[in-house]
Amino acid sequence: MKMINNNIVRWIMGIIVIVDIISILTPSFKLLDLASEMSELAEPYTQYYDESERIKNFLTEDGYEVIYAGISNYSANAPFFDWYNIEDNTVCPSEEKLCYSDKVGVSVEMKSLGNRNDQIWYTLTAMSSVYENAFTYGITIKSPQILVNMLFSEKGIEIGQKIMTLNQEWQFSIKYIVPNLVLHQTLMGFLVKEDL
Amino acid sequence: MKKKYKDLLNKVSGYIVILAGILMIFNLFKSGLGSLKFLNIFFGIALIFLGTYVLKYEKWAVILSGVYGIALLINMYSLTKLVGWNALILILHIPMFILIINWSVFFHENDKQ
Repeated sequence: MKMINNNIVRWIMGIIVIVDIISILTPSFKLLDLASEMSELAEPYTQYYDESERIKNFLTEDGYEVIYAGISNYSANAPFFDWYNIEDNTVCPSEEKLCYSDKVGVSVEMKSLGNRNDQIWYTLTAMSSVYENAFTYGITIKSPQILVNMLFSEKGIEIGQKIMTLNQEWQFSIKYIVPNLVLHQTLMGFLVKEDL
Repeated sequence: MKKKYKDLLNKVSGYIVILAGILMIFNLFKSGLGSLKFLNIFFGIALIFLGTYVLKYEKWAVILSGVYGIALLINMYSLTKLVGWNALILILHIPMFILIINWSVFFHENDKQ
């Protein structure tokens, strides 16, 4: 107890605690800076965020089952900006930090139902009515079956479409990505890329 | 404030600082002996001593523990900014508020005198 009452001990402990406080505060302020920068970057995302529920509602009214509907900003470093010479005016605060471009992509994941062209058309209409200025519109359609669009014949007579059943879970998916530009120019030619 | 409550507040604050010190030392053994982690043992011992001085109503210790509380509060706030507010973080705020309340009560009472 004598040692505790010693003034030197008080000074030493006091100085160590002050160093401790500084070591706690230094990263905290860095984190606060980072958080404020991130909130600025996330602005276009949050601005659109709540609207994705509207796409879901539109499509559910048409009888479709929507698994996911959302919007996200493309990374400013996305390679396709360079590939297609797309102008991107995003100014990144620092190369090391995560930086989003102002280009947003809307995506919907849904189960297949009825005519595929109709489904894509309804979904695109719903997406473009909610987000007019999105950069791309992505539709992922999940299905339990593979439709082999190949008419096969028996004894030279066409008898119909062959349907191959894979499984009963909605695991098979086809993704359609539609650039906004194409949608507005042609309004009909929406099949741009197909990933199997 | 009644002396009974003031004493209780001071006691709780002192033990919070001691507990913080013990946790800091415990963190050292949990993480292993890294060169930087080794500092934790000094910080932990210093906090335990600080807690004992807070229990003795020593003015400098109460001031430092209050500042420590504010520093941790800023630290927590910066974390919540990144991770988002959740129940765990809110519960962790309570000891820091106690340290700050103890500090302000201590000063308030001293000013009166």
